[in-house]
Amino acid sequence: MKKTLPLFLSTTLIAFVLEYPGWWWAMPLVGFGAGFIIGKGGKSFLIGGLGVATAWAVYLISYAVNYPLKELLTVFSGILGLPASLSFVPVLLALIIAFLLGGLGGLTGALAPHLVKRTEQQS
Amino acid sequence: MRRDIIKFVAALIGTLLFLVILALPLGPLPALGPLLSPVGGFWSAANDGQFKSQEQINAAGLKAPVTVLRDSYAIPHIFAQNDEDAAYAAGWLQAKERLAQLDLQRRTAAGTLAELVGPDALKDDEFTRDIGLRRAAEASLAKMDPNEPAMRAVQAYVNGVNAYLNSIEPNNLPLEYKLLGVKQVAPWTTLDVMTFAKYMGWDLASSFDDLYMTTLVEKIGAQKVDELFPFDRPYEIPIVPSWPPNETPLTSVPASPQLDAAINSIMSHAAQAGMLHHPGDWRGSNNWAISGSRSDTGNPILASDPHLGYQLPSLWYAVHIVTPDQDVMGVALAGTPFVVIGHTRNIAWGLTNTQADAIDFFQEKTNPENANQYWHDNKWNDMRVVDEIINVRGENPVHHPVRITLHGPIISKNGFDVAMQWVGSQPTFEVRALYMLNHAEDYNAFMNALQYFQSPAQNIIYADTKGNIAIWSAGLYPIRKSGDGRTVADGSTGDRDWIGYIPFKDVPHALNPDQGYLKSANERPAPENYPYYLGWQWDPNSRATRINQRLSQCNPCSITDMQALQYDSKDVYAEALLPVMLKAITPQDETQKAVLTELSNWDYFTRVDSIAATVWTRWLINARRVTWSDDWKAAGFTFDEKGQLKDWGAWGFNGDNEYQPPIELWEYMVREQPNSPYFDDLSTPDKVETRDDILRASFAQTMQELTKEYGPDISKWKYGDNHTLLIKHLLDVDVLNRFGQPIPGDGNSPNGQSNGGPSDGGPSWRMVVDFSNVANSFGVYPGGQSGSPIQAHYDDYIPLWVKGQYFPLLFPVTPQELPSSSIESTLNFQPK
Repeated sequence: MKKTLPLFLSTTLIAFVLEYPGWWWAMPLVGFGAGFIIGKGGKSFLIGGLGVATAWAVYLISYAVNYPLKELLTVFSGILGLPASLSFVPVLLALIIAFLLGGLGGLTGALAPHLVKRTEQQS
Repeated sequence: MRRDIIKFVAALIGTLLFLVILALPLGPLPALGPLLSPVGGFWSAANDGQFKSQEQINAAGLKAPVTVLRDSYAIPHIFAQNDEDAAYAAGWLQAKERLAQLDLQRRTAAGTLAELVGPDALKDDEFTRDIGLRRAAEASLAKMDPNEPAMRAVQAYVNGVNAYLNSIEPNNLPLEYKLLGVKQVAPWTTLDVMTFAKYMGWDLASSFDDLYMTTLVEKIGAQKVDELFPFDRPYEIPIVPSWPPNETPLTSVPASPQLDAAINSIMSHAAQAGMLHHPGDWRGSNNWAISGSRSDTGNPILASDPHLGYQLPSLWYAVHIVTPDQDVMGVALAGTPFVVIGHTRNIAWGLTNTQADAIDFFQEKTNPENANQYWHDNKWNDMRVVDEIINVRGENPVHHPVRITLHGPIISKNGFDVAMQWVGSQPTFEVRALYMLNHAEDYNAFMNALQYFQSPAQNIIYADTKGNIAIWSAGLYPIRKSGDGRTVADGSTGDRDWIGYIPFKDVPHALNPDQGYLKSANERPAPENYPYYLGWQWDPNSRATRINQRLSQCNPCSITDMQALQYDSKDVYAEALLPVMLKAITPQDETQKAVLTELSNWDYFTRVDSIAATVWTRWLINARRVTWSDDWKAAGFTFDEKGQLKDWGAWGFNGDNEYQPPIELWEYMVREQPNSPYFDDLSTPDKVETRDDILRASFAQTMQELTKEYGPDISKWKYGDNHTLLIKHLLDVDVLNRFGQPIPGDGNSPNGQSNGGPSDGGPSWRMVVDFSNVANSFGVYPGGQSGSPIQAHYDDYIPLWVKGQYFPLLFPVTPQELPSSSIESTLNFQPK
């Protein structure tokens, strides 16, 4: 737990910074870093995923506070063919994607140390 | 070890696969990764078109500070110390509010849509390149001095657009770009502005009627075409009350299978590019002015409502510009810096399309040994060949060669060359004309400006504070060496070549007529005895008749009367024809009886609660089709399932005549020639039908159709239940479109709308200017100032427009004159 919270916060912070120029594709790298340190698959997936999703959520909250996000969501959902009552779907979808990007990166990162250790043992 | 490797590789592949899926477009949607990314994704569009209550903009290239006050209707009042700074601010504001629209429009005009949206737009681009709007704009640009005031203003406007573009991050482009997956907008140029001006000229002048007439001549003979499509129509009231007959016999090139194929290739290409006019299309307009002798204030009143296809964002952008040299209020075309319809301190003007014949087609004789040579002037001449390179998103550029004769580009595609000559292809100076109009403060300045208003030719109504009213059908009208421009000409002989244009002093015009008013509604500009050929594709005379009726009756007229006339839904054809038509009908059942009662008691206003309007608008369409379709079928034309002539669209600029002779001719036959041979149904050789047979058959058909569509209960046939507004967004996505509001009016009323069903075109801007106090003027358009669908100003004018209401065109002399309660936001532009 001692390690988990700082790692989660670091992941969130790094994800936030890397997202700032719009580098959505870099999110797995953030998760990878967290997973590499944690080393456990399930936990890495969770921390990586939650960290990135939280960073994205911060951005979305800032839009909601400053701009007419509700109206935008209604329009965007309409473009996707969704009724206004399901205008939360893009938010959900974005957070799921963020979670998966971070989580998959975390999982991959968690498996990498095993590989490195084995390689070291063999040499 | 192997298990660890497998696990790692599987996780890595899973991650990469997920990234790839997110990076690829999903059908019509762009890739989900960039689209849903918080920065650069669609979320940032929440900021589109948002203004702070106070904003400071540091603007590179500005000479002096500019103050912009946006009023509660989001109309910017630009106070600048010189014209160029005002144009700069106008450019910046239009880019901020309408960037995607401006970009889509300039690409449509230039034929570069495929670069943005991919191969789906390639055919459109090819056709646009054939026509050569950008080539025409380049020609105009080359003839204009970059240092003349109009061009300096255009350059400043372009600088303003680019300043806004440079101020936003690629991640913060408007929603439309997010949907298209585009992150870069090319800088603006003066050529973009000029090309869009040419596009508007083309939009208002384009017509393939010569091809239709040529085919008609081939199928039914020139004499019959002259009889059915006469120069002089019954019941006409020309714009200019009097002038001297000038008719030339209709001649056409000889028919040939190759020409037929060439015509078909042009029509099919034009149809693919969406360039054909269709039944129900709306490109009519109204304008009028009354002198002080007829107004309740003793001063002139001017009204203008151009009818165009509705769109969101609107084609129009309302603006008020104040500099030491100009004070102009009205609407600019989004994408241009100048007010097109509006008023200054002392004058006002409004436009309707003259619908003159500005396009001719020439069958060229090509050298069998060299396809790039054509015969003219007794020798082979080289064509100019332009290699148009069309960039296509995601694909290799396409080379599209365009061959050009002295008449114009070859636009047929079957190897049999037909060239198109259009007035707008040559250098024209509308930009200069608009600049001068925006600065005009008296009649002389107005006339000086109009000399440069060349394409598209427009009926320009005028009124001023000195009490003058006038109208000029300004524009370039070609004079042919012989004949007129109604059919395809033989290009090799030169007999139909253009040898000049009608001198400006001789174009139809009138100043302060005795009748005390002037009006135009796309009817014939000049009377029968006008010495020059102007064209023949005038709109049905109904709006002109109704406006004439009201203006001649209304004395004194008030501003409210003028507003009511713009919203007037009376159908004068119903008034003239229905009493005759009803006499032919005997009800066959209770429903028919009830319908006939509605029609008999009707006051001919196509109001939203009128059942009669629903029946009348459909009956008129059906009765005309039943009259003419057998003649056209007998001539060899084919029809589609909707009863439209296959592959031809509609002739003229207003789709109401469909393929048929002008409605005035049919009106005359119904009222005066009940036994006209054209009423005989050629598909029933054993029987000779008369007018009444046609009216009965079409009435029965109408009843059957309406019962099928709306049910047997005629209380459900109210006009407004189905005659509703339809404004499509440029991307035509339901959530961005606006539709469903019941609206009065039909194709024959001043409030010109569709004849039943959704109405997607009509009064695109209504303006009434009061010369007792120009600051007491009004306007409205169906839309809103903002291009962003999440802003309240995206569609806030629509409820007003639907009800025939207006917003005030506030006209402060200084920023301090605008009441603070009317100010929504303030922008201070500071030179950087």
